[in-house]
Amino acid sequence: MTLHSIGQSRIKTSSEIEDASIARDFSERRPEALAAAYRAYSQLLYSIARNVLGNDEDAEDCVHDALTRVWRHGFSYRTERGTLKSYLSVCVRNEAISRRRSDTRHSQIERDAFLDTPQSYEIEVVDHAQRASLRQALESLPDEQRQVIELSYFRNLTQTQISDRLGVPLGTIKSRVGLAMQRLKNALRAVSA
Amino acid sequence: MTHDYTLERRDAYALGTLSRAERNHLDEHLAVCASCSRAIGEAERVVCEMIEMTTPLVNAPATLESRIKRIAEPQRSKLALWRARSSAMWGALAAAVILTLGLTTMHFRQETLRSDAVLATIATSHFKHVSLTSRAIGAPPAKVLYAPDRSWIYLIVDAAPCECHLIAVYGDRVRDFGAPEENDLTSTLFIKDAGKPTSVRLVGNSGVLADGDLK
Repeated sequence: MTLHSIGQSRIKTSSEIEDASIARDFSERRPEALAAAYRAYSQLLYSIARNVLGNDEDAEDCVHDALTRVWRHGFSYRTERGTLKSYLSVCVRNEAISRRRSDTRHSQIERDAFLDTPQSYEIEVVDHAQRASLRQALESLPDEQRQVIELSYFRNLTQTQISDRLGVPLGTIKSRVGLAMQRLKNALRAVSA
Repeated sequence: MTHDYTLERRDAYALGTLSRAERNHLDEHLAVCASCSRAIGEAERVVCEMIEMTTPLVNAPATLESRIKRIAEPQRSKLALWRARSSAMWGALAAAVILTLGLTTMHFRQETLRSDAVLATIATSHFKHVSLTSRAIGAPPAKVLYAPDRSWIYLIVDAAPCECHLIAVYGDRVRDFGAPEENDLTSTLFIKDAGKPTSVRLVGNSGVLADGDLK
């Protein structure tokens, strides 16, 4: 499985309405902001958790717990960090990954992650400049950089696990991830400029 | 926690390869560092785009929205409690200042305002005040009095003792002024040369407890 072989199918995107306004209210911790943020991004956040955890019940608990943590210890979101959608998406995904790692029921999934079992990942095909640029940047990464992104992002392996799996020093893995991410950030910056 | 430590881990944070404990550790720094927040935001943007490229969307169950709404409800009642306690605290402080002005010849010493220097500064100056916004469960109500030019600041926390530090924010820089001192019912900290901070944060062991802008 490589990024080149990602399947293509149309999926819907979550709405982008009132993003800046919701983000500002959220950073100021206005009581109504949490519900507003959830309404704006519910489909995306739930789908992220569902995609990582593989079932509805765990996905629902995951989103609830992630947003509870973000809201009650809500010191880490500030508007200069970027969009609230990006922040919440990464929070929910990180929560889902942590749950999956710690849940022994998913040990088989973890084992599968080490196998080269072909999996199909869906990719949105829309005329979206940022996404097209990112996709192009992903596909043009050197093989060793694309490999660590695939193992990090698609298979949710820790950098230590990637190091063990590839037989490459941990420092090298970190370096490759850093170089790959920098190329991807540059691709998005170029589109935004 | 340093900028280098955080920046070194920003991509791993966004990609989800850090442990929960490591993420919490970074979150503490991100709470007080705008430049690192921007840096990690860039990495999150990349990952979010990847998520949207690769995640098939499904609708969330209707029950989840009602659960999410309940998360913020305790904060509302806490906010009301905070306002009530804040008003009482402000009233008590105003009374203390007025009383102090009238009794300076009697060398009145009271516990909240710890020194004559503090008294003199506050009683003879115009000052502004801001109630810090709670950022964590159990965060004690706190208020900051400050000079209009932000040359001095005076922190009053409605808890004693208060295991927290006062962090002053100067754009991308922060400065830790240490813990307030315990008095009778409050903890206070007077910073004579505060250096014109733009905002302040009250930071406990688990992160930011409360914060507020000094306008």
